[in-house]
Amino acid sequence: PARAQDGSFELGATPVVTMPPPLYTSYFETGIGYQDINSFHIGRYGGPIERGPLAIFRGTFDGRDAWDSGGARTWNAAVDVFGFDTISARVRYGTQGRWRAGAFYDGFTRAYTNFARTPFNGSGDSVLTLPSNWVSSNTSAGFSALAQNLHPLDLKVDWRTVGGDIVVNPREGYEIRMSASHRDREGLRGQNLAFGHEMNTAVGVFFAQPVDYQTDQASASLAFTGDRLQWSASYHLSIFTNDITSVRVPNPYNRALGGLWPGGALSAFPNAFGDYGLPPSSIAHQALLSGAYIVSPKLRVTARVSYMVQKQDEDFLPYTAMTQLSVPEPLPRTSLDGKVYKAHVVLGVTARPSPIVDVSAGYTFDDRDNRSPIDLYSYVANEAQDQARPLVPGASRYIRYNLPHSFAFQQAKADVGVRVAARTRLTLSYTGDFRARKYQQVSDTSEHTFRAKLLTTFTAGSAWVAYAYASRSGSVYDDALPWDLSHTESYLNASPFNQSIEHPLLRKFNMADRKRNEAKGGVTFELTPALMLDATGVYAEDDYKNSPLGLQRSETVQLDGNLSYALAKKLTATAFYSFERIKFDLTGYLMGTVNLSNPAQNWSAANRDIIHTAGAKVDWDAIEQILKVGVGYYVSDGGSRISAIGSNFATIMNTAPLPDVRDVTHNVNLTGDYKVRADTTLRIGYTFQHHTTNDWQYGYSAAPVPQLLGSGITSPRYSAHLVWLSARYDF
Amino acid sequence: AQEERALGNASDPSGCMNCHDQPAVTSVLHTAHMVKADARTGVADQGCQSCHGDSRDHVARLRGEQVRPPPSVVFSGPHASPVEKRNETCAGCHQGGTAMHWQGSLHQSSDIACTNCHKSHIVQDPVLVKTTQAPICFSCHADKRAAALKPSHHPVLEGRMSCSDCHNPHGSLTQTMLRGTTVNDTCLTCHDEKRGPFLWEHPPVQEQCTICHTPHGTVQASLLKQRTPFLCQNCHDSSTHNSQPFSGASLPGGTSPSKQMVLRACLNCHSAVHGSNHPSGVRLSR
Repeated sequence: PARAQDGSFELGATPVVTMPPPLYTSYFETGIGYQDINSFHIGRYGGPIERGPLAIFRGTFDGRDAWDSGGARTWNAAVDVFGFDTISARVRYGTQGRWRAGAFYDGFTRAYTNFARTPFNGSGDSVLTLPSNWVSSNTSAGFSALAQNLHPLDLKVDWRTVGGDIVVNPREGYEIRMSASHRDREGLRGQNLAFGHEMNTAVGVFFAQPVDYQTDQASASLAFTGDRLQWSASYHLSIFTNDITSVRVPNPYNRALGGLWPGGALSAFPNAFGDYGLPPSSIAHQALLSGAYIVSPKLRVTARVSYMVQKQDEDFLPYTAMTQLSVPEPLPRTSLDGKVYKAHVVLGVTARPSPIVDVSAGYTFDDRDNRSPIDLYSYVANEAQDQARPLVPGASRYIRYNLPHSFAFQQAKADVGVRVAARTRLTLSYTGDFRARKYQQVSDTSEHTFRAKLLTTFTAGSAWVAYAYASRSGSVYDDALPWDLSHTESYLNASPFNQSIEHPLLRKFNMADRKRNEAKGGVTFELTPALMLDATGVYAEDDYKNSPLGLQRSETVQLDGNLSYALAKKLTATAFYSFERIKFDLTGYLMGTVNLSNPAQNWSAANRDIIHTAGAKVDWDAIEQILKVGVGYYVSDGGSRISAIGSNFATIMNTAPLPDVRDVTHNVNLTGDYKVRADTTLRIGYTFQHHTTNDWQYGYSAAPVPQLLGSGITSPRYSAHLVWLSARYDF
Repeated sequence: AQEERALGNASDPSGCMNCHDQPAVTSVLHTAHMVKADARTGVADQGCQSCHGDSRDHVARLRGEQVRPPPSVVFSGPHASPVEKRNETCAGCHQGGTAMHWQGSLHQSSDIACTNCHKSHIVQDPVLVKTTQAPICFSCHADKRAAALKPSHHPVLEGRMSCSDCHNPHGSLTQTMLRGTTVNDTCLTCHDEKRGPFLWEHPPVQEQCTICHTPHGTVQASLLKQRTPFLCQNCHDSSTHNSQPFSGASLPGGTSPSKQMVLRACLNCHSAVHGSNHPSGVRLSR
């Protein structure tokens, strides 16, 4: 026998009558936990990162006037603390249908690594120094005082956001909403600065960049919801503030491998240092109008209009931090006065001309108009690099115009959905994308996409298949355009053979001609009343067949399966498995000589990512209303293989192949909830995580190659255990 | 006796709760849907019928072998009403705000019912809570669950952000049901240090973040689609150093170790890849 509200209750049957358990709407939980290792990796997205005990406080306090009391007051408070790196709290109070106000705080730590090391002193400040006993060299292997001066860095950024909102319903259908928030990001992240002349072996230097970002956001909106008309008008403000404009980094090198840098002693230790510019403060305003109108029960029109202004006018740093270096021209202005105007319009219509046909159509216009001023900048190629005054004024590759990029995107689309049978719908659609670019190799591209989807439902489930074909083509690929536009005419005339920086046969894939095929399908099937199967599959291919160089092809195969089992309320179990294979095929050309068409200089590389993801979860009511047990496990096993394919360099790549990259994470979660009383539960949890990586980009010393002072970051590899015990009180 | 208990006024929730007496149902009295003082709910006049439709036959005394019919609108279980009918009920009130563009949305046209995601009878609907939302989305979007488990991902599984921070599942007029106006505007909501405008721009950054990044998760660092330097080489083939056919020989200990391969690869020097405001940052190196 079932209760009236049970899913298994049969109409006509007599419902079983039981004494309902008490109803609780709020709870408070407190406890302690312990993690057995320091690991920035296990806690990298807001979890505990340090070995030791951690506190647990969780709870919600929900309340409202009794439903039939004549009152409509409602209040809510919630807190979630899991170790003191992760804290969130919110409160809300109001009268339903009239007003409400709330506030929140959300904090977590984004941890990158605690394996990084640096010889620089002053990490976190805007000026770094090298230790007094530093020994410079033309190669990082010659930094003989490096090992003794390396000290560890905790690269992590704390995200802390506080905010609130007020919502008022002044009259039926209307809503006024105002919100504001302030977010702090504070900490350290890895960064790099290059020194030296690019024609004479530049070097890269790792350092810790201080993060002290603040974001203030505010919104105000007025919305109306009527039977036929709904609209919303809003204004959004976003202010990004970075009080640290740059980091000064000393050059630990004293010359290039190939000889002195053109700047001589001024470009080398101990005389040289450089400024790394940090993200500039900026502001954005957005006005947004969105609405929908029901013309008739079978016709609905929608519109969305947005206008945004983004501005940035931070004072420029000097061309070089070193006043001894010569720069041919002064800065043309003290700041960019950067302005971007973004207009975005979407118009749509949905109609149901007959009970079995749905039609929708839409048009989108998206324009990014960068009106930042264009000027000539006499740049210093890499920091601490002296510049010779050009013999012909302006005839230097180091004098460049900035190119404020603008884009205009238009899209037209139409969908027709037809119920070809009572429970089967066929949808056909077309999308046309038209993009215009300013100052780029391809000024216009257009892409036409055709899609078909068949969805059917049946007694035991549903199934669908979909196919999409797209073809993109563009205007003539002008490889020299950005180069020509950003250099002075006198330089181009003086160096007629240096017209373009890229190989003329290269096609940047985001602008290149492309054919796209995508097939998808899925099924949801109730194998038995208790057992449900979901499976989906995707095959997608991008073919850049008109690109002699650059990305040639990409392909994705993904298969997902999910099995769910439910035995009344006693036991629920789910298991899933996903397989994904991602391919990228790249063709390049070694630019070693002026010859641009020597087949011997062609090369190709194939990137294969294969990822297996699997998991299972069981929730078991071991003793009804007394003991609940949960067991979860997931594994993520992903890797990359990069190999040569059919190239003249295949021999090199095959005799010295790149090792495979592999990243495996096993995660086990156990939970147990034991009800001591109806309102009191003892909870226990255990998490085990085993993580191994094998990555050829990491795991070296702080001097991995001659021209790089690195971070010494190693691939994380650990087994972590986390246990927690708490008591929960419901009320 | 059971028939006697089943009888009652369909407009009075207390009558319904004579049978439907478990917390999973009665907790609706503690939700926004059951507030008599809020006329928008319709509870004062119709009780549970404000959502379940005319249910007088459902509570009527049975005669002989008569089988009790379900309420007009049933949201779950074997007697659930057609999706369209269920959704019409919800849309009767929820047709503005974030649900303004439900009609014609991808979820609507895929016959997704509101109750596939929402639980209207309980105090705290799990899909509205950041820490419990993702598993509900993943129950259909299994590929996104797999992506979220990849080594590089947004902190969705960890409960630090939710799917709906970026997407509006009720539909929007922007692509992939984004909350923001464009992909970039959505990303810049949190990553606003990359907003600029910068003196020296990297055009694909301004065109669309997804040219280089896959937001749901990847096996490469920083949600990159491909490993550097190969990702960069898809678009840059200009001089000896960036046109190299890198191999194992380019690693430390190899015959020609290269700074373009280890650690951040190209970004060991061109680290301001999202744009530089430094007057000398034309190469995006500072």
